[in-house]
Amino acid sequence: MGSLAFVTPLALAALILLPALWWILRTLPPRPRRVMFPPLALLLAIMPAAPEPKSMPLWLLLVRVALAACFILAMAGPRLDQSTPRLAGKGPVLLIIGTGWSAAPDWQTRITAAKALVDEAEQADRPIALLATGSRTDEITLQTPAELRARLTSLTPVTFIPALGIHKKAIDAFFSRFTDTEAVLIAEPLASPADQDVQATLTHPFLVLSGDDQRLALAGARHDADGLTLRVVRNKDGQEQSGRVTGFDSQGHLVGDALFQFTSAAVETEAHIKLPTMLLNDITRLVIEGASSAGGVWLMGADGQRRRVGLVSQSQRDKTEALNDPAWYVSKALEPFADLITPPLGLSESIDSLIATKADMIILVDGGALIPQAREALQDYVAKGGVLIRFAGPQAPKDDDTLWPVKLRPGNRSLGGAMDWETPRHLAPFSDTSPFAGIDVPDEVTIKRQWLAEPDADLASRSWAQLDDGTPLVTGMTIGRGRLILFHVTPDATWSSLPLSGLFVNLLQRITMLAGRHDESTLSHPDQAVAPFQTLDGFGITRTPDIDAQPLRPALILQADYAHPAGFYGTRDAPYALNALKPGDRLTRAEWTANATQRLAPLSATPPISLTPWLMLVALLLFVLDTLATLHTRGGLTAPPRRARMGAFLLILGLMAVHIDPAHAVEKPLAPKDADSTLETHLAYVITGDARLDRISAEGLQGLSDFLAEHTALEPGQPVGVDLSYDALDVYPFLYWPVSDATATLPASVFARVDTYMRNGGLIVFDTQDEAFKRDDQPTPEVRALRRILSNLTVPELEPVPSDHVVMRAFYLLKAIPGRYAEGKTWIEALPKEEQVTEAPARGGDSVSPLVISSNDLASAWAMDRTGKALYPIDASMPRQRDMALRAGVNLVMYALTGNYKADQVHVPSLLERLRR
Amino acid sequence: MVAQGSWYNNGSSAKSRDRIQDHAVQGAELAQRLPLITIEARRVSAAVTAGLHGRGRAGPGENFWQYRPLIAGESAARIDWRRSARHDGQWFIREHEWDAARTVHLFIDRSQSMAYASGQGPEKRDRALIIGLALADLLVRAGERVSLMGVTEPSASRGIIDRLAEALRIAPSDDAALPQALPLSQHSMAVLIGDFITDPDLVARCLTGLSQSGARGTLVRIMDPAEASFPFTGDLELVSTEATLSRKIGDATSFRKAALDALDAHERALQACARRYGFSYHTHLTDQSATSLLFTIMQVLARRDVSLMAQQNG
Repeated sequence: MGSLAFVTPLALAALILLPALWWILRTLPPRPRRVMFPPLALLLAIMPAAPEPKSMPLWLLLVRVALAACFILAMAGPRLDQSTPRLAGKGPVLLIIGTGWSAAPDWQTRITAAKALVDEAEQADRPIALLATGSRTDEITLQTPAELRARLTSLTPVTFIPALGIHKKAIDAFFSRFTDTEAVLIAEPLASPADQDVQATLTHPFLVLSGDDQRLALAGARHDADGLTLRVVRNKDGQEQSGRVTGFDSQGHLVGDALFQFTSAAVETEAHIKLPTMLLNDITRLVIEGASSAGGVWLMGADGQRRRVGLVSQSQRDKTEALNDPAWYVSKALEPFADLITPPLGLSESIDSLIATKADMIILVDGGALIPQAREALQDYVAKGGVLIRFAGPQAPKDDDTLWPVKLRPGNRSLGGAMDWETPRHLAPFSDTSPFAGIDVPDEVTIKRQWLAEPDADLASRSWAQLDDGTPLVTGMTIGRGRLILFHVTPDATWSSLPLSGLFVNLLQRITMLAGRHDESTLSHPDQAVAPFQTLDGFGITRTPDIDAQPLRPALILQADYAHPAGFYGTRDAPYALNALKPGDRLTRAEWTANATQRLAPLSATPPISLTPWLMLVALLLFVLDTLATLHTRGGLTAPPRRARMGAFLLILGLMAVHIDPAHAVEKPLAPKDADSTLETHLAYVITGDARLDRISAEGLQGLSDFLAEHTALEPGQPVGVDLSYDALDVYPFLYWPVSDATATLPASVFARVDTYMRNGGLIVFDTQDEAFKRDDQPTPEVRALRRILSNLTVPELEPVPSDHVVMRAFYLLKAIPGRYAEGKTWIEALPKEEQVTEAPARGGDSVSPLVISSNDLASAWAMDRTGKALYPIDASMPRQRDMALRAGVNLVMYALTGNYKADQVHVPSLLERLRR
Repeated sequence: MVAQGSWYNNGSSAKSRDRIQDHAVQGAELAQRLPLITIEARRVSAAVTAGLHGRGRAGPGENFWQYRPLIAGESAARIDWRRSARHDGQWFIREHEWDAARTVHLFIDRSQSMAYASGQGPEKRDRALIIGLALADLLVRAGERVSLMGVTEPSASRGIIDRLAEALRIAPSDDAALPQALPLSQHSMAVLIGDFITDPDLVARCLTGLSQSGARGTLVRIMDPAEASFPFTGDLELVSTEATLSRKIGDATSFRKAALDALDAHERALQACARRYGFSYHTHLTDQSATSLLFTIMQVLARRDVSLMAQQNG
């Protein structure tokens, strides 16, 4: 059942003008056509005294009045509302909105639906109450529609999926208070795992509005051998789906990204970001592109960073005896989540080099003694925040070696040997104060030998792991900002089965996580509550924490909930990341089935059909009809003269020819402009069609040409603008291409030409000029345009211009290539990797890079008028930036012209030397 | 030169000032078109020349015409001795072709109403100028002297087209539909080219004046096809060329017959008037060829010569 409504009913008031219009049109005859007729004077005698006005035919009158009526109606904005009323009952309305993160992507739709319900209830004069599942309420109260609308407007999704079940009491109370309540649930696509059978729990009659929506989420990230693997989950299988996960650092800069692909049957898949560890550790936030919800964001805390662990082993064992090598077990256990460094040097040298390279953790695999220098170095290292793990060894600890967390008894204790009474010992569960708290202790781990500690006051607090008889297995202590840890067993399987068990991996992982966390408080008290410093909202956007966000104990809270929104807790140095999902979580679909009491309806109502366009169309048609009729009555409706028809035909033909022309005009002899360029070197720029950009390019290259003429042996001619589809490119060694949003759609033939140009040794300088507009998460339109262009070209591997690249040495000695902006990176074809570091001050590849990409807006900095006055401002973040920009321009031109010549120049002294000999 | 031109002129002074400006503009336009018009006039004239023959009679002139035997009683001074010497006992007289130069006075109507074209042909004024200039050229070649009434003195220059065109270019624009009714000399001829959208009485008065001393001539009426056929349909308001006059006529189709009748009556009145004063009368539609009209005019003028000769001789 449709109902007609008007957006601006006031416009309908104009309808009362229609009778007036009718009267006016009837009274005023149509104007006669004026025709020039020279012999008019001859006809004056026979003129009818007052030719009777030709009154408008009735049908034309009707057409005109109908036209006016249509127009007035269209202005009033009629809408045919097809939606059916949602509410049926009479009593109070209880509106329940699911505000978990899965509601975030179509949040506006949900709020609109809720507001529509409020409107409906208000019209029916029914009291209404609102329950948002994401906030805790003990009692649901009735509110005025105005209050409700305000509340709905300010409502935001939360970072977890709230369970409906916990609101059961409040809902029951409401229903018992108002027995004729009509409840409407705007359900989110995902359900909390706690809501096992929510439909059975909520026994009251419900109208459930739900959309069948796909949701993506990140549930877990783990380091592996060459990168970061992310677990992507979805709530619905059935079709193939792909997407992208991007990683950002704490400043919001994009660090890396990866694609994922769901097969049609899968609900989870993986994305793998392949990056060097140092870069991976910068990633703090991973986002599924387009997910726009907290579930699509995965925060990486300090424990998510991959540590660099140094292994120091003195034993040079044969590789074939790997199982006897203590280092083997440790390295196998650490490999999945840490970068292992094993310096092939002697003990002291290894330690020194590890400390120098800032390893997060150092493991001394052999229980042997340390020479004093090494001991001091290690002590210093630990005090500065390093983590040192030592293992027991066959030799008893020496007296002068004091680098132990506890005082050790000489000798060791053997259990379960052939001559012993005692059987091998098992581990006791970890105490809550231990850093290992929460790790399950498997039964199969047995300890046959161990070092024993002297019992003293500190022993209990320093014991991280104990045997079931209370003797310490792992002890640790804090030194300065670091930590010293001792395993009272050897790292091979001779003393215990610990190295063979998964527990060993877990323990090392936990310790590894401690490494690099230099904050005293979190170190010594892992279960101390930490306050949030940056949280997400349901849309997955980072915010400052809400006032009601509670501190949490990292070991206990693993997933966002009411009091703890997803976000970063603790300190910025060593943040703890709380995510919407736990690693390994799956998404639970909210399944709603209609039954006796609960009805289902789609979330989005059919939008009302606006009749305005149709009325406007009718008015337009009537107008055309009216025009034709008027022409006809005035006698002007004749076929156009032959010549006019011919002219129109030729014009159309001509336009088509103009349109067709470029395709045929690709190959043609050198234009005079290009022919001229063969005689004199000209700098060239690509005509983008944007007049402003083209002018800057021309002025910039003019400025650079003048600078070149003044400072170098090269005296270029006038800069030339080239049209990529027409002009011969080969005659220009240097092509400046400012990329704008508009430079997007070029035909394939143009790309083929550009490709040929690049292959034949031309240098194109792409300039996105967007350094000032760069945002972290979004590529600028210019960058997107550049990507579009480059995707059609053969582009070699690129790298930011290294400081020893020949382009930095081609004429001036440069440190950067600035333009209007100085910060932007300049990219150039990657040089071949050098086998060994040479002392050469300049390196060049075998050929000239076909392209240089800058975002610094070079031309604006180069642009000068004839008197040498700069035309455009620069951001001047670098001393003498404009001069440097011009010098960089000179180097680019020299690089285009001379290639790697300057790189070869470095050999001149040795050549001369050889000649002299 | 506000002459009898617009006899219905009752416009205000402001309007007439506007019109003078309009004329200046149109005059400038005309001056731009004049080179084209002269070329066209030359072309037309050449086309007609090829088909014309000489006057074909002996008379005062310079060109050799024929030798004829001396008739007794003629002056011996006329004997051509060189020719006579070749013939024994007979004397010959050398006759020249009759070459009596007469003056033809041209009048070309350049008033506003001539600046009209309905789209089926050129502007009436252009056609009038082409015909006038071509006629002048033909006449000069035929040995006559041609003047443009009120603009130039009679001239027999070979470059008469350019001379007249130049004179027209610098002459003030003229709104007169008829020439001044000054008497022309007996042997001269008047050729009036215009649309004659005037009271036939005025035409008669003009012709009276012109033919007072016995001059004769030709009226050439240039008309646009639309002016002759009144091809309009629909609800119309007619506007004169000067835009000073406009009349709503209602449905054009119903008005057509009366209009055609009125136009036809005017045409007949003009014809009668011309005949009365011994002028020939031609109507030319701008979608027709100018050449054929020129042929007709030249033949008529030649016949007029014969009649003139007859008059002179008789």
